[in-house]
Amino acid sequence: MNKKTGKTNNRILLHLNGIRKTYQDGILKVHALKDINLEAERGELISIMGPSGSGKSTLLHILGCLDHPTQGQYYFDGENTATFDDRQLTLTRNKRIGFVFQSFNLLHRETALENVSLPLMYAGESGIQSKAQEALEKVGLGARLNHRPGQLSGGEQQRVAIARAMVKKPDVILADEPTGNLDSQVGKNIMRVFQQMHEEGMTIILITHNPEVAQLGTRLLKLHDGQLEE
Amino acid sequence: MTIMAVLSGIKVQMYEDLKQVGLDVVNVQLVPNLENLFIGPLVTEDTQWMQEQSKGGLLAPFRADMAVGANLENQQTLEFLILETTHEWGNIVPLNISEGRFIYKGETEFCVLDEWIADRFFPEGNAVGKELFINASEGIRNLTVAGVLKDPFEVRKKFDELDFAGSARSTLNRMLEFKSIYILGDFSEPHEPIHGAVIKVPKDIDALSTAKSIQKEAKRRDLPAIAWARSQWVDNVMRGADLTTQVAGMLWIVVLLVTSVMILTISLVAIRERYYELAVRRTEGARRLQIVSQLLLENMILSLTGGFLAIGLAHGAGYLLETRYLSWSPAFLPHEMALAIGLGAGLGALATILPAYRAASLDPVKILRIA
Ligand SMILES: Nc1ncnc2c1ncn2[C@@H]1O[C@H](COP(=O)(O)OP(=O)(O)OP(=O)(O)O)[C@@H](O)[C@H]1O
Ligand SMILES: [Mg+2]
Repeated sequence: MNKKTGKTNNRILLHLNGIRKTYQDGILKVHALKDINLEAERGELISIMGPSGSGKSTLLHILGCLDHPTQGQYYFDGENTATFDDRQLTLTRNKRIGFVFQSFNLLHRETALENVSLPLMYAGESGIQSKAQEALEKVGLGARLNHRPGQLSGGEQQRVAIARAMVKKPDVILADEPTGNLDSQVGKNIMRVFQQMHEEGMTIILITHNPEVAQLGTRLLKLHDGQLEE
Repeated sequence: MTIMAVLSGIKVQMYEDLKQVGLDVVNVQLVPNLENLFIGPLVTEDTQWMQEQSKGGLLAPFRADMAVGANLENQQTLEFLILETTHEWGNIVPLNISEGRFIYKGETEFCVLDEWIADRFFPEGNAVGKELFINASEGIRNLTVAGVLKDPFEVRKKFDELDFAGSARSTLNRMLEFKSIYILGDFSEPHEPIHGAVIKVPKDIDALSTAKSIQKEAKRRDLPAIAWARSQWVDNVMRGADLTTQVAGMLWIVVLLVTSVMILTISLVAIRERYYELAVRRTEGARRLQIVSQLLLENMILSLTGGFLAIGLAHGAGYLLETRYLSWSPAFLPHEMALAIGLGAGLGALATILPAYRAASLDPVKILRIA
């Protein structure tokens, strides 16, 4: 392990082994994920497709260390995440995973620039302002730095969320339907951003409904009723 | 805070007022009942042992009598208390002279009026040098006014209700509240009855212990007299005032309790409103402790700003009260203000820390799913 960056040279970045996730919904048990096995190599762009309610978001939340599996092991860069405490989980989320939520999850009262600065602020980094600005310029929002989410279109908000995920230069970006609610032109713009990140060597896992978008991946997985198929 | 300052203000002002009654003066008085007033068991001779007990203090005996007086110029007649004493009275009791002076030695044809009587006999002012006639037990006398005193009992009347520990004394004082005229009396006869004496104890001698030893001696001689130090009376009144402020302080605590429950509810609701924001911060790398400390810091800044604003408002309210209703200035004592701000901030912090901890422990994904 490289002591300075905390990064290793493991070929396999994400490794899911026999993952199950069961939600207790009243007296009803919802099996959102049933025995998921997945290995993601560094630099891969994996697309995941699947109908609504098939467990895509659930899977991504587990990969993003936002949720714990009911059963099975999740190794992030060779380390079993079950052994992480709050500090380690937060640190991993903050520095090594960029998450683009299905519903953006931006802070409504803060500007685009402040939203993108957030993870850098918690990481205690320097030069926050210029890094955040650079990330926003990359997604084509150089002219919208001081707009609040309410003053931005859906596509622009999505791009702020993407900028926030990539600004910290994470090991992996997990994106939950980043083109979901957008028309095809805006969707294409956003896909170009992901394409570029992939070309720069970023590991990306992308959830989408759109087969065209899914074709961009180096690998396409299908999630069906909580089960993964190639 | 205004309440606190007003209460403290009363005490500060009170002590200033009360000091004027003379902290080094001991009063000796007959226990007030009809028998004593008529037969007069206390006589001029007794002043000798009193003086001995006071270790050489200055002493002035006094004798009180009802009298009728008249100003022949304006045909005004009044009924009042006539207080016979010696010229030393003026050297013993702190006098609040508004005109002229106290009677000098040997001025048997002079008198000193209190302001109330002066106002009625000589409504146009300048009472000094004027003449009036009084009809006392020895017959009609013609007296010249030497001076006018502000009512020496004014201060005491204001605070006597607070003298819980000396109600007999209070009764006495009330009897002496009659409007009075001071004249020089004849105290040369050893068996002439007197009603009491005032004694100024020498410097470095404790008035309270002097009063006690005089009291003891009076008991030994089987005399129905009570002796009390005016400083003791001041202490009692201050203690009474303390009790009153303590009761007010209790009210304060109740107010504080009610407020803190309100603050708790408000901060619970306020933090609940921010669950979404806090969840986003958690997913973006804020640790639990950072969330709690952020909320706490925000709350501290708010409470402290609020606290200083409150001090400002309290000063304003105090000033208003002072100009409109109070006869004393509210005292904003620094330690009391600090206590109030500290309590406010402490309560705020307590009311924040629990909901903040709760918010930080919630699963951000669940919150974001709902939002
Ligand atoms: N916290 C929860 N409590 C109960 N059930 C849940 C919870 N979260 C998800 N589920 C259920 O788990 C299943 C998978 O949900 P998930 O959000 O992963 O689906 P999805 O594939 O992302 O769907 P979509 O494409 O509509 O976003 C659904 O049936 C959902 O109702
Ligand atoms: Mg989903």
